[in-house]
Formats: sequence, structure tokens, C-alpha cells
Amino acid sequence: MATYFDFSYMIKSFPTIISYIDITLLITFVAVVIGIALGSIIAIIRINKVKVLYQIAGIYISFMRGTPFLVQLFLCYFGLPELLQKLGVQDIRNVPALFYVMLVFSLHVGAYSSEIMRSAILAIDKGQIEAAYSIGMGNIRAYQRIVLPQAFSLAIPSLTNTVISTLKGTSLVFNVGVIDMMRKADLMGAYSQRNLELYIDVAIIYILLCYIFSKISQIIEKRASYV
Amino acid sequence: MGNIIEFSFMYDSFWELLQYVPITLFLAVTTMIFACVLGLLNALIQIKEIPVLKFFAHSYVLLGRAVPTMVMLYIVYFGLPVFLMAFTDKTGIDTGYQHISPIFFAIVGLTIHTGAYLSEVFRSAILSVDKGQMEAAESIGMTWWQGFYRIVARQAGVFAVPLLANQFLDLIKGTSLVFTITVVELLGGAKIACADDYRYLERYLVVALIYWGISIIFEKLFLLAERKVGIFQKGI
Repeated sequence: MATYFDFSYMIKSFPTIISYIDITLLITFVAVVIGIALGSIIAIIRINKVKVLYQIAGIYISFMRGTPFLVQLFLCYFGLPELLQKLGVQDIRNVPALFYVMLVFSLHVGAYSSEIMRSAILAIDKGQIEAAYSIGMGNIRAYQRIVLPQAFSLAIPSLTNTVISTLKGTSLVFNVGVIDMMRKADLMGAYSQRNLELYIDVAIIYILLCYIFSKISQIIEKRASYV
Repeated sequence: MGNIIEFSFMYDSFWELLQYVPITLFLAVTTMIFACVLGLLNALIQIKEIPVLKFFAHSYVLLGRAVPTMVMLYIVYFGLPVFLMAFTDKTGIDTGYQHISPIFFAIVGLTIHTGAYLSEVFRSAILSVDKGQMEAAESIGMTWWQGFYRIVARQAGVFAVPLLANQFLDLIKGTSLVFTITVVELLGGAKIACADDYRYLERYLVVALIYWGISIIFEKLFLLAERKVGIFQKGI
């Protein structure tokens, strides 16, 4: 009778699994940076009610928030090459899966963070931007120097939530063939038939990452508060 | 191929895929019910500060929210049979672990995940009700449970509905992961159909549209519910 739970195997395979953490962090980082930038732009578009773009942004946000991430990922990973091929672009097969993953993730984070940024920008007193105009700042400058820094510091806790859910969302990318911790656990499990131990390793790594991220955000929050 | 997107094909696959929607909704609703029970119990344990259980409840909330849904599903999918096997071997009680349908694992996995979130929802909702309400209830001779059920829970409900709605919408989207543990729901059905004819673009577009539709419908329903529950709050 074999053991039900091989603790030593779990410990032994932990270093192998954690060595794939870089891809998880890379995806999270790229998605968060592009996503928050995109989200801020969309938030400004929606607040200022820019014609046409305003409606497009509304549909985009509704779609991104109304459909599962995995469906978006599949749509992009399987659907986009098909669409491009029909349009006559042929060298689409050379594009790595990671590109699609980052694209979808950025768009996904963009939609979620745009709502956060919108409420944060609206929370900034109107007098701030009026004051900026009164001393001769232009629109872009007023946002860049006065509104956005304050909005970001307000939005840090909510943005952290988005960052952490992005981090957790990276556990789905193995579905399109990116080799991350989940895929590695899957591959190792196929060999050793001990999937449970491997997935518990993965869970431990995610728990640690979530803990570290929330601690970092607490530190940033303290530093960034203007109050 | 002339057309970039073939609408007649999309129309056909829409009806084809619509048959999987009940499975998705079944998963979401069943999970929501179990998760509500689990979350409420967990929240009450934390609020009433029951000695040993409090510690477990607290760690469950922390761990349950830190583990991605996908990982949770896999741990349940691979772990529960091992656990049941060990149980059967040790005690001789046959749990029939060989014949459990994967949909059961899906519900268990999603419940554990959602329960942790709902626990926080319920906890914050209950704490949002003024402490004086419970004290007043106890002062007129109600027991804690009576006070909770008759006074606090109803007011907490108003606070909780929008949060529950959010969680439910998240859960509907979360059900799209269970095809990885061989449950055939909306996305799983689409994936299988795609393996036949390789028409990913149109079919996944249809899947996305169906999910979008479901989300919008439930959003509207929950808005109605919110108004209904909040009706006696108007005076305040």
C-alpha cells in the first residue's frame, strides 16, 4: 500500500516548481503596468465624456467585466490568429503564446482598473483641477501633476486587489500552453502520479506571493498618503 | 473564404451552445447556496469568537482567498479522492470515491473558494449594523439568535445584497474553469465542438456573448433585488 500523501516528495519538488515563478511575476508585472496606464486613460475619457471613445470605452468595460477571463484568453489565443489569417496576415504562427496572454491580461486589468481610477479621480475635489487651470496649467499637465498623483494614492488599496487577482489569474495561462508553475506541476504529476502534492506546492507559493504583495502595498500606502 | 466572420455559423452555434447554459447556471446556483451557508457559519464563528473554531475560520478566510480558483479546483479534484480512499481503507466504510462525478468536485472546489469571500461579505455586513440594535433586542428579552434573526440579519441583508451580487457574477465567470476537471459546461462544450471543426473565432465569440448576456441579466435582476430589499431604508 503506497502512502496517500508523500510529504517528502512535496518538499523535494518545491524548488523545481518555484523556479517557474518568474513567468508568473513577469505576466503580472506587464499586465499591471500596461493595464493601469490603460485604465487611467479610459477613466479620463469616461469622466470627460470624449465623444465616440466614451461609448467604445463603455462597451469595452462591460464586455471585459461580463465575460470570464478564460473565454477572453481563448478568444484571443485561438480566435485572433484565425481572424488575422482571414485578413491575409500569414506569419502568425511565430507569435509566442506569452504575447497573447499579456495582451489579454493587460486589457482585462485595464477594464477593472479603469473603474477604480474613475472613482478615485472623481473623489478628488474639483477645486484641485480648477486651481491647476487658474495657474495656467493645461489639461494634460493638470491631470499629470495634480489629479493623477492624488488619485493613485487614493486608489492603492483597490489597485492592490486588482494586482492580487491578476496574480491569481496567472494560474489560468497554462491553458494556452505557457509553461508556468501550474503547467510544471501538471507535467511532473503526469510522471510521478502525485498531483496533489504538487498542486499544494503551487498553492503555498501563491499564498506566499499574495502575502508579500499585500505587505508591499501596505508599505506603499503609508508612504504615498498625502494626508 | 469570403466572409471574415460567418454570422450564420454563429447563429447555429449559439443554439448549439445554449444547451450548456443550464449546467453553468446549475453550477453557479448550487455553489452559491452552499457557499452562503459556509460563509455565514464562518462569519458567525468569527463574530461570536468561538474559541478554537475562530482560529480555523480565520485561517480559512486567509488561505481560501489567497489560493487561485484553478489551484483550488485541482487540489479538490486530486485531493478529495485520495482523502476518501484513505478514509475507506482505514474505516472500511465505502464512500464510493471511484464513482463520484466530476461535477461534484467542481461544486466542492468552487464552494470552498466562494465561501471564503462570502464569509468576509457576511462579516462586514453584520458588523455594519449598529451594536445598539443587538443590545436593544437583548434588553427586551430576545435571545442572541432571536435578535440576530429578527433584527440584525435583516438590516445586514440590505448591506450584503450588492456584495453578494458581485460575488455571484464572479462565480458565474468562475464556472468557466471547471472544464479543466472534465465537467462539460458552456466553455467546455465550446472547446469540444471546436476540436471538431477548428472554428475558434466564431464559437468563442458566441461563448463570450452568452456569458456577457448572462452577466447583464443577473446584474439587472440584482439591481431589482437591491431596490426591493432596501425599501424600508428610504426613511433614513
